[in-house]
Amino acid sequence: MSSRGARISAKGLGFTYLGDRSPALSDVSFEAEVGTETWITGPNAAGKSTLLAVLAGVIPTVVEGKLQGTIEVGSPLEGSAPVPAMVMQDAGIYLFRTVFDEIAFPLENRGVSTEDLETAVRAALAVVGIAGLEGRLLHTLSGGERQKVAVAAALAVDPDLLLLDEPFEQLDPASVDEVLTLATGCAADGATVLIATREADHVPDGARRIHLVAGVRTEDEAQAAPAYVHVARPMGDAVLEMRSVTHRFGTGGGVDEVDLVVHAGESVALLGPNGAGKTTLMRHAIGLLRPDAGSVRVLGEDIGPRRVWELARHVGLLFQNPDDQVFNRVVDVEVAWSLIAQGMSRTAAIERARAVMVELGIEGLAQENPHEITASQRQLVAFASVLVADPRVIVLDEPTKALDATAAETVAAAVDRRLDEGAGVLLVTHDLRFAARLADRCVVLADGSAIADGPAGELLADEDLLRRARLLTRARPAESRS
Amino acid sequence: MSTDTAGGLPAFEPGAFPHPVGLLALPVGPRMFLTCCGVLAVALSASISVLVVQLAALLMVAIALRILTPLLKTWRTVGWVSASIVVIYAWAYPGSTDYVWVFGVQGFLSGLLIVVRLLGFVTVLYLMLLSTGPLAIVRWVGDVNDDLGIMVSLTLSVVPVMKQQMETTIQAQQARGLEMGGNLVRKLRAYLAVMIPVVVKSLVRAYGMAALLHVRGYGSGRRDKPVFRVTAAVVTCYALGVLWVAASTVARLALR
Amino acid sequence: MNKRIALVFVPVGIGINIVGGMLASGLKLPVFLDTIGTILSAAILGPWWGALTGGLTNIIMSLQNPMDMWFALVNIAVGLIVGYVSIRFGFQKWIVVLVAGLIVAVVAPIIGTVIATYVYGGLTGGGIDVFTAGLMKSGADVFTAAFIPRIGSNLVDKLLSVFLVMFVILALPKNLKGFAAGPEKA
Repeated sequence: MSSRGARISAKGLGFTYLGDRSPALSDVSFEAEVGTETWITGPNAAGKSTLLAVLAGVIPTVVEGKLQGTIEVGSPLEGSAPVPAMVMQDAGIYLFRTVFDEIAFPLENRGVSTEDLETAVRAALAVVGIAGLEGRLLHTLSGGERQKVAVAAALAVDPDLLLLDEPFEQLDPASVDEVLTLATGCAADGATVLIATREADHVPDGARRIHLVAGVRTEDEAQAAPAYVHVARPMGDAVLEMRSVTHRFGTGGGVDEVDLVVHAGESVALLGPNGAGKTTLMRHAIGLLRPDAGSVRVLGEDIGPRRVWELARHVGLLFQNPDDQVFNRVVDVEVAWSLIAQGMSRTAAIERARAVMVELGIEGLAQENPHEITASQRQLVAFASVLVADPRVIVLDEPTKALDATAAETVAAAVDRRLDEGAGVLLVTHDLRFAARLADRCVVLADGSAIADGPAGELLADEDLLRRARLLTRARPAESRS
Repeated sequence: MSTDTAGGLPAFEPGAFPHPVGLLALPVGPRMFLTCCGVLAVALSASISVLVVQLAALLMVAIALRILTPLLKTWRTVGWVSASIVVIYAWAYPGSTDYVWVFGVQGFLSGLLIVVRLLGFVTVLYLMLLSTGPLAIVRWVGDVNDDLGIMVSLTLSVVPVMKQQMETTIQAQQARGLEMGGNLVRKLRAYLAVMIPVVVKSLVRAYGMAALLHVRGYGSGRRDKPVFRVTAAVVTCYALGVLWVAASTVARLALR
Repeated sequence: MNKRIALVFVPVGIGINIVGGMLASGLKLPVFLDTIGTILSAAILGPWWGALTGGLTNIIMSLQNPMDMWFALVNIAVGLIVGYVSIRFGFQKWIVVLVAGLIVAVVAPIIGTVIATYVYGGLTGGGIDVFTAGLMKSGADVFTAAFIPRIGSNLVDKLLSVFLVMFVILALPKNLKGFAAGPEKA
């Protein structure tokens, strides 16, 4: 792959989204030369995606807002403009039905003729290792396959400027390595590559780095992993029991004879890579899925005859994406909603809601429109709406995806309090650090089967196991866990 | 945009149509013109016999293209309404003077005319659809106008995603205690509880797609323009269309 | 709201029409609610994009059921009416939405009945034909006989639809509301 590269110079760059009160980026300055690879790191909502969007030209052409400072993206060759390509954060957003059309589109827009199209598409897919997928429909692909399609679409046009936004989210570690090798290869050929990620583990030692926190460029402080001492809580009866649960999907995948038990006062982390069956298993806890074989009991009762909304009184499920649930006009009604839906009077429900909001520190948001607050705050609102019904079983689905570090700690503290009161918690995640913070016990799921079940301290220190379960990338030493 | 790759044409959701039949490699544009002429000609026809003649001709074309059976199957889509029309017009038409039992002859004939014309419309349109296939038509729309083509393609890709999102939202809300049933008021509340997240997520997705369109180079103006070649088949097609409309007009005036 | 955004909003609007209709029949509601997307599109983007959403919905449905294309005119009219109302008054006040809903509830069946009378003789093959037949028998002309039953179902469906859209718009963040926010803020 030959590229000419792009020279970037940003001075005092700032951007505020239309309708937002605070800027997403403030006074950011940096330079990038041709043939370099720069990593942009920082927690959630730091402004990484915003910065990439400015470099790609999406801001201000497509997204409206106030842009300040100067940004120059130039080509080393006089009189030509660098060709940008970007792999966006959410590979679930795509344009066409078939993989072929998705890859053909950027090629056509760069002038590739119709006769050459087929070869070019096939070549692009082969580069990323998904040759043969061109006839497939995008909405039937797995998350990892879709992200590879997005990478293929970006690399196909031979970009001068390659922007990758959170490439690690959907891919298993082997694919991550492949993609990073390709990106480094692009840089070696002269392209300018920028990679944004919130997982600082992946940044190679000595790499060029821009660290953003709340839109401002700062020096990265290596944070010592806080040591938590797990409280030995008295465990009560089983609040959630899954025995030999089997559920197979027609299209393949599912879970096979999995045992999972959560006791009162206990928190269990369900670990595993994408596609292992964590979500499938989790859905059984509230009756959204029913097992083909095996049994599920909540508070000692078989859930067979119970409807989902009846189980909702005892099982509180926090979905990964708060936007799947949030729909009211003001936050306090949103938090109170499940109580109102179950028949409580509006005033009483809102009072209970306020109490939970105070506990989580979000009472100031009570009159806000849930869609006008940050994604992390919205997830806290969703969490409040789950806690308000006082469920005995709390299930958290990938909570750290949307939450920033402070909010994640707020959630963990609230969960600790509920555990003290005798609730049982099932934490579904592939974030090992959060699991270390909260879990008493871990169950590791891979390809639909439970391959390990034991105390958190032991399992999280077992690198071999974690690598077998594809939860670790590269040969990185696990950080010290309590 | 998508070509016949190993594995054949992807199924068009919902439902799948048979593969387009090679009609002397006639492009979609002239077919569209011919279809419009056909619809116009049928619309201008005011007598049952003229319509029957056109129907017979269309059925013969279908036989030649070997799609007679699928075509006749599509007549079933207007089966009930056709029966309805004939019976109700015969019974209730206000202009009838001669009666057979409760059914008026003029009403019956009036209803029959409507039915035959309806079948005419159905036949012209389905003949076009079955012989061309929806994917070729979508491609043609894109050739005619880039923006229209993009909008149609985006719609086809966004609908299955929105269906999935609707299902996820139904599950998420049920997990909070929402009952997907009950009296009318509860059902309407349930409707809002599902539609609002679906709408919001779709609008957010729209922004993501707009950004994708930009970063993938849409609007940079370097697309390969399709070449419209004029062949004998194309000219015949246009001529046929014009003749068809003319014949229908003449028939209408002559039989007045 | 620039053109690029409108270009992607229209497909989403069409999707909402389709999914909205599916949800209504899934909940077994006695109305279609299949123009929600057109109304939303028109309220946010204005009459032309709203009309395009409506028309394109029928065209895309025609790829499977070609006879759907006839009623494109009805949905185009819905888009135009709601769009013009939204540009002048926004789409968040009860009275504005009510008036828009009433206008649509009358205009839509007028256009629809004209089309249905010509193509289908005013009939549908469904239960509503009983009313049409009865009215014809008692001396009404075909158009009137077909119109009266339709205006009943349209009133319910369209009024419900515009108010549902109003609630959706009220729940949206400011930057997504477009014209629907009202003339001062657009």
